[in-house]
Amino acid sequence: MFHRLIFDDWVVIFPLIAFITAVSVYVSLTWRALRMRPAQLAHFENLPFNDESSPVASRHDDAE
Amino acid sequence: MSAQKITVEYNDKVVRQFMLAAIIWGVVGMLVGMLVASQLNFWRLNFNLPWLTYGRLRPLHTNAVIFAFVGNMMFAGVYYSTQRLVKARLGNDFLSALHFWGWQLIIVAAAITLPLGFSRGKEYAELIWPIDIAVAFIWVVFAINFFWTLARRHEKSLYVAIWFYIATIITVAMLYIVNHLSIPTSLLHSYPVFGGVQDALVQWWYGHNAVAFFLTTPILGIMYYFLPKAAERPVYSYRLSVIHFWSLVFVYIWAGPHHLLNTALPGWLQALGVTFSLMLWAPSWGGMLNGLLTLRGAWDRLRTDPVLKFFAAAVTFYGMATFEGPLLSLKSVNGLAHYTDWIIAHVHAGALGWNGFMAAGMFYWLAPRLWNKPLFSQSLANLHFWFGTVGILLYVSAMWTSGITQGLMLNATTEHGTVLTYPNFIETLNTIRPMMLFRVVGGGLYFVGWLLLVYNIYRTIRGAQAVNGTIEVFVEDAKTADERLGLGGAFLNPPVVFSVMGTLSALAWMFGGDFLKIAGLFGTATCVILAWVHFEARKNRWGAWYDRLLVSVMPFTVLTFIAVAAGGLIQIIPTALVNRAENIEDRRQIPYTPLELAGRDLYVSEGCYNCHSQMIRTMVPDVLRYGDYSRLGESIYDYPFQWGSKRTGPDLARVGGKYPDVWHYRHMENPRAISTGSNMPNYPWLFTEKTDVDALYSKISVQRLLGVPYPKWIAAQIKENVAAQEQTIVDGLRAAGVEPASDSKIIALIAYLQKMGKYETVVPAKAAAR
Repeated sequence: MFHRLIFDDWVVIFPLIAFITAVSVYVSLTWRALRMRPAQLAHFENLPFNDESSPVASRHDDAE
Repeated sequence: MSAQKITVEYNDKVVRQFMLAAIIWGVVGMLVGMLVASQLNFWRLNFNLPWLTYGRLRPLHTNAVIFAFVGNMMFAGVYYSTQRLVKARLGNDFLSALHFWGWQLIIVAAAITLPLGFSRGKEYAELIWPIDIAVAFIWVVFAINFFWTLARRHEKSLYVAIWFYIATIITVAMLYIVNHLSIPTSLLHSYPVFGGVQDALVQWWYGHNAVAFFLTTPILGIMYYFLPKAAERPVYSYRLSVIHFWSLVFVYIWAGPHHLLNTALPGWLQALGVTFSLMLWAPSWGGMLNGLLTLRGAWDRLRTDPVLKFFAAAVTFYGMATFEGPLLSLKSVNGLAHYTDWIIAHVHAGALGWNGFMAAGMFYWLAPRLWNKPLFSQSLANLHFWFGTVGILLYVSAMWTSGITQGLMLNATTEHGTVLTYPNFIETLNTIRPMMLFRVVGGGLYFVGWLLLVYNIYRTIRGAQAVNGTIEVFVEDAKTADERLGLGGAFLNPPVVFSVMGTLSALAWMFGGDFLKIAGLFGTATCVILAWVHFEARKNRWGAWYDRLLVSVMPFTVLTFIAVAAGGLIQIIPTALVNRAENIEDRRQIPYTPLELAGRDLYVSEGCYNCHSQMIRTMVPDVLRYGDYSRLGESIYDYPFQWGSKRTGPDLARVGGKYPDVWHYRHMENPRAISTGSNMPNYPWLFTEKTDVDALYSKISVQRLLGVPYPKWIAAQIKENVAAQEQTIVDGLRAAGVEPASDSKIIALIAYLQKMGKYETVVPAKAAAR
């Protein structure tokens, strides 16, 4: 019932390329992540902490 | 070498500004949302005024909540967390101020122009071209300020939140610029450079990735910072955050075609969209689990801490929405859900649940710290949470019910699938009215919760002294050896070189001719063996490259850009090359006459696409209801495309010739006179305002430049053409018993509506076979 009359068979390699590339990227990065050292992990995990000392009054901001 | 201790004072003034702006624009955006939702039940709330119609205000709602509310919230969170993660003040105070005030001016400009009907007719990309330039400029200001901050950093490692911010900045720039490429016809109007199916693809490549890289990635970065801070424990798995980031930014870009399933979009693109949308489930849930499991051991605090309540619920709604999204991307499910309220349910679960609740949690956490005063009322914050949650659940369940009802009723057939069970569109609309009303109630509850936040924050900061955070850092007097990567080092290193050469060889092996096949096979085998040998011999260099990447901003940014650009290029370039007017199916659109073009521009400016689609899908119920399915060539000259994404009213792709001119005349004057129970607004100004014929010369010149085969008419010929067609329509209307003004906008609109679905038959061209 639904005929498509554009014969663009050659473009089907694009989903294939995309899928292979995506899988390659995923596998290689997963491998890298699994190989991260514990010391490295601990360092990155704690970056949000110890990021501030005592606050100071904001100058020129009394109106806020 | 001696180290000097210095005190860095963070620029928290701009954080406070963005936070307060987000709160205010949140009120505006939600109020407009409630108004437009109410208009769907009570058409009189359009007030017969052009600047208050649903078609003009719905874009105001979407732009306000995305760019004004979430945008300001995002900037507040990014600036607060980035400074602290890199232990440096923002790059430049002037740029920070320019960013803030420039963004607010853009929002005000949008709030003025959209109700006045100045629209590009593309969802979340409606703003006219001068404002688009302003957006691009301010985004560049943001980028410079952000990267300048990174350049000045005293913490060399880049935490995962920074990665998400980098991806956001470069990807939004890429998406926004490409989808807003336009040629102006005047100071307030332009046509996009893409038309028809190309415009459809570019629009939804942008539209979905606006969700991805404006509403998701920066908020994920915010989650990776603020959730551990609020829970006072590090993220559950940093390894998972690495995998989460890279897989998310790579996969998300490809998901755009899932907005165009079962349409005239080529099949390979639809398949791409489906596959990658399904794959997207994994990284999204990786992020969700990472967020939720960060709270392990702290679940008891959810009982009393409203910040953690909001964050936990936000991440849960994120998980829900990112499961629902892939589900909706299956062609069979999409066949039911597309154009219905189920999509609205999906959007709002994410927007209200994920974005809104992350904003609330972040603001409740930030306010005491930015104003050095405890939150005014924990009880009010907890109450806000419950109002918001109940509101979301009511909203979403109402829209699920409505959407599935619409899908089932509109697709229902009888007599062995040859006849529609509900042939009259209005039957479906009447059935879903109670659910649409429940949606307003749900949204109202959510809005009440937001007002509680407004009051709570106001009482917190009233009379308080604003404070800026500080950090003491040690700065080396002499430069030490820089372990960062240069730009060349990002690419000329073993992992990248072997990967690229191996991939190219494999492609030659798979797709090459006789000689290339053999060369490719040999090349692939050689690359694999050499890579393995090199890795075994020089393991340190492979690992060292990646470790240095983690502390190097520019190479990291470039690689992220390649990851996101690849998807766009592979989707858009073949479409642009293949699907042009010279290479289409057996039908080609007949270009609009000047009067019809004027009518089309009215359709766009009035926002008719917000309720009506122009794309009959390759589905039996669509064909039974609206006529033959839409071919790709039938909209090839549509700048912008108007395939639409919602059917509050019926599809209009083949409305041309279906009804007489006087039907359209009466319908636009008072839809209920023609269709009892319709919720469409009246359009009385179309009968008194004149068509802008003078503008047509410039418009047709630009259309010709874009490839529409218009003759090189002079202005006088265009006016003559318009006058002749107007007279024909007016004569017909007079014969039918009405007295229209011959140069009124309604005549132009009728001309356009009667043209829809008209095409010429052509011999189909075949693309070169492989």
